[in-house]
Amino acid sequence: MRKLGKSLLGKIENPRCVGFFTEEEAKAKAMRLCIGRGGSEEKGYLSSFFFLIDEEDGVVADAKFQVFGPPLLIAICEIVCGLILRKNYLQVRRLSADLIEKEVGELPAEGAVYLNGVLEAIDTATEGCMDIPIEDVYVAPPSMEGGERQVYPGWEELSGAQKKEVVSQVVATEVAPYVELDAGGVEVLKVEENRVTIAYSGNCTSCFSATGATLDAIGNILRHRIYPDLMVVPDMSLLDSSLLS
Amino acid sequence: MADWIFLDHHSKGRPSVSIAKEMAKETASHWLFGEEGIDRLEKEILSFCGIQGGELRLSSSAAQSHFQILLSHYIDSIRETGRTHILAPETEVKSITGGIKRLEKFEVQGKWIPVNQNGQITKAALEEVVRARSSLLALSWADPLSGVVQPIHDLLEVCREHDIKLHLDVSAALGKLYLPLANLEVDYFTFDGNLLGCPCPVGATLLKKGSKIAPLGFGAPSFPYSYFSSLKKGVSNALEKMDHYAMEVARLRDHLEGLFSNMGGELFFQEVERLPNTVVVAFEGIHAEHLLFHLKRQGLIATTGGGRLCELLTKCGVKRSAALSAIAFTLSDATTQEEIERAAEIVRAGLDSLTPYSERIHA
Repeated sequence: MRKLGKSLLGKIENPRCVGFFTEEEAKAKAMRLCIGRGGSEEKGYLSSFFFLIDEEDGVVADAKFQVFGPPLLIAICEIVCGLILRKNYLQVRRLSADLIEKEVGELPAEGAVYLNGVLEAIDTATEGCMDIPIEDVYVAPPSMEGGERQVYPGWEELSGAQKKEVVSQVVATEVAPYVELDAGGVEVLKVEENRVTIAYSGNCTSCFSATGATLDAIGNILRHRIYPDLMVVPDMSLLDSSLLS
Repeated sequence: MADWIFLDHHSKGRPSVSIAKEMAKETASHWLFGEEGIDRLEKEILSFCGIQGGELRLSSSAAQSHFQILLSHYIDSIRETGRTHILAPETEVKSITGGIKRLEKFEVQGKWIPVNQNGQITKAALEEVVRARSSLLALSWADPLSGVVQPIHDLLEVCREHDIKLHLDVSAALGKLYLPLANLEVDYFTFDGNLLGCPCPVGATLLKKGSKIAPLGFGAPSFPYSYFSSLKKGVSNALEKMDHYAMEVARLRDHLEGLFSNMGGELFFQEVERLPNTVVVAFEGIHAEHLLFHLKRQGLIATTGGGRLCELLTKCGVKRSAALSAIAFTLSDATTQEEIERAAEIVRAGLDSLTPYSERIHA
């Protein structure tokens, strides 16, 4: 096994979400217990998730996991439990391998196989709560308050096409995975000087935060990661008319 | 963290301080004209192994020697005779199975011999696989993970009957098992100097009289005198320690197995001839890689052989959940009672702390 980074080691050695819930515990908390399992002995590993789902809004109130597998699988399960907390089950089902991989950091090659098992376990677990009606809950991309501000080397000298490539890469890794949790999508249409035009798709086109919190978050991320004077505007023609009134 | 307790002596040998000192001295004293003494050292090493009139070929490791034999056999025998089948146990070490698979890109066909529940290939199993095109059987005399000793005399009988060459790797067995190399009609013996305490990367192929393999390269510089002297010292030391392995190391091995048994561990290969220094144990419900990680963090090194132990046990018919939990511990002549006691304590603590991870995995 390749040497693991400090952050992953911490998750392996001091996981907070190892354990399980029983039906009795769930009942006492007026929650629904949903259990899902992934992997198999044939594949060499097993993972199980235990979700306590709020029957009022379908939100994951608490999550624990069990694993029979190598240490890396423990880190992945720990990260997943952190990601899904306080998300509704539809958002949890949209959790992608890309997003987990991004949270893991540099995923060792042998880790890719475990992602499928973990996603399988999540799908199985959430199947048990699909009847719960849910509110339209929005998850914004991560805040970039604080953290180290970066400037892309030679940004001002890049052509528009090159700038678009740089911005697209950051959007794909830092924004899209979160937007996908809400069945939305975002891509970069063009970059003129420091003005970035983006195109929303899916649920984003009818979500009020597309011109509010999400737009602010995307702008912050790009200003943090690429250049401090970047301005982000959405292609308004792609947005639902209700947002424009 | 406590001092390391190293119980993986078939993966990596601890360099011998006395050999290292001698090697340093001889590197300096024999840098010029060293080759003049190499013939004598070659004969001495062959003689230690009981082989008269053979040849010794060095490489950088036993694994490299394995591929050298396979490649040479392909070029000099298979291409000439058309007998394309190379046989090996289905559980054999990767340097042999991997080498055969690599040659399958040409016309070579690997034929895998099934093992019985003890991890051995029987005469009947070998006969079942043998065809007119079988030309070489390659295997370890004793498996480095399980310690299981193959019934070489039976297998040799089949090989001679069908004119099949035999390559035996004795890396794990040398110095731990009486090896009557002189009396065996084996074509190639290989072993790893690293496991004998040599501080340099060195492997050896012993060729019985009349056997040939092609050199590693043409015009390449030969190995220096100090490598040969280091190997000679390693072989000599190993043979001197055989009684210690048979008595003291075997006692410590049995003690460790007793401690593991008391913790609920399932022990394997106790009913078959095996090396005196290997323990294979499974603590069901605790994944081997997870336990190994914990043990390493606490300063105890053991192994799963990169997953090979699980595959080996599965082929022996052990249920998958136990095979996935199995770990091999390999003692050395330097292993102490205190280390064994401490190792068992670390394992016990590991089981206690790791059980909550999987107690309801099947819920």
